[in-house]
Amino acid sequence: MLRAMKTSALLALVVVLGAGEPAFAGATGQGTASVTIEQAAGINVTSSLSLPNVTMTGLTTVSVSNVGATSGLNGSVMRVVSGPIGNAALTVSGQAGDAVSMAVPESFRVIRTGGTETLTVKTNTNLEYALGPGGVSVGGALSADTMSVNVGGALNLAAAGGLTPGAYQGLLLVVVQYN
Amino acid sequence: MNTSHLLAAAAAIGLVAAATSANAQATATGTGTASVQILKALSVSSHHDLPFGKVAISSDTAGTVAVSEAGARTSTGGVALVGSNSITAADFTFNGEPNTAVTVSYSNSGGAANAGGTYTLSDSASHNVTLTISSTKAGSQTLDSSGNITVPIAGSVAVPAAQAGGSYSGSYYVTVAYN
Repeated sequence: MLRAMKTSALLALVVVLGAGEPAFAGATGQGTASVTIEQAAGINVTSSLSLPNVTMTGLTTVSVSNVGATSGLNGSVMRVVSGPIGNAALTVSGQAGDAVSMAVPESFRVIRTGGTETLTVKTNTNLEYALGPGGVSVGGALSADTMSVNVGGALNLAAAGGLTPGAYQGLLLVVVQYN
Repeated sequence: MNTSHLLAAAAAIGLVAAATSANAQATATGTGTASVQILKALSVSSHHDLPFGKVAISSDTAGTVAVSEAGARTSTGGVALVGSNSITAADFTFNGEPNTAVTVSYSNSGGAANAGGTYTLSDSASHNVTLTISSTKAGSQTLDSSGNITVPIAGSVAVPAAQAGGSYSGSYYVTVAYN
């Protein structure tokens, strides 16, 4: 019995020493890591920008506004022959409530199909807040998780000397990003 | 015969007396040295947290966002960095006995070992992403002449494709112990 009691006392001593050692012989630091994750921003092209097919009896500017209104087609100067007319409609998607900005080029070039002749289309948007040398910057907070943007264009035929008839196409590159 | 026994007894008595005398003269004092090295208790003197900032995740591609020990932020796969890449470098500074060997390790709350340095970050809706930390100071180190050691922390967060948007946070732990 006495022997058993001594053993118990010895074990208790060992336990006390073992529990007390880390508190003095080591220290643990706690840090906090954080990250904010957002759904990827994207652009869905609902419709492309289509300038009208025209026949020219003079030189002027033909344009489609960002709500699809045409100009420069009246009278004897120019008339619409055929084809769809309309502004580009884009839907920007992303994290609801977050601010995004979108860069629309101030202008872009179209190239005659089967040829090398180019024309320059000046753009305009329904969210044109500022016009800088690098292009049009639009933006705002996404009230839901999408934002609609319309882009129109104007083609100055009067300034396009040596105009070659034909179909002209080009790429309008729009970039959207979180602020 | 009786005389012989008496002489023998007298001789025996003499031997005992001689032996007693010899013991009294051979007493010696042994000198032992006890020593103990008392080390200053280890403690955390300062730390900087580990923010990964804001990122956007692809709807179909997983990726990672990482912050180096120097505070440089990078991403891979479907993770796009949003906002500033200027991130405060994370670290812990521990203080203890100068010029003393210690071991730096990753741990959980309470100091239990976490060999992989892997932790969970959660948002308010209990969505989770995985954080893995690392440090070039992990392992055996020596406290400097002031008793300090600064442990820089690098981290990487694995973000699954289409991870729910939100603010994620969680704790990580680093332990320094005397060897």
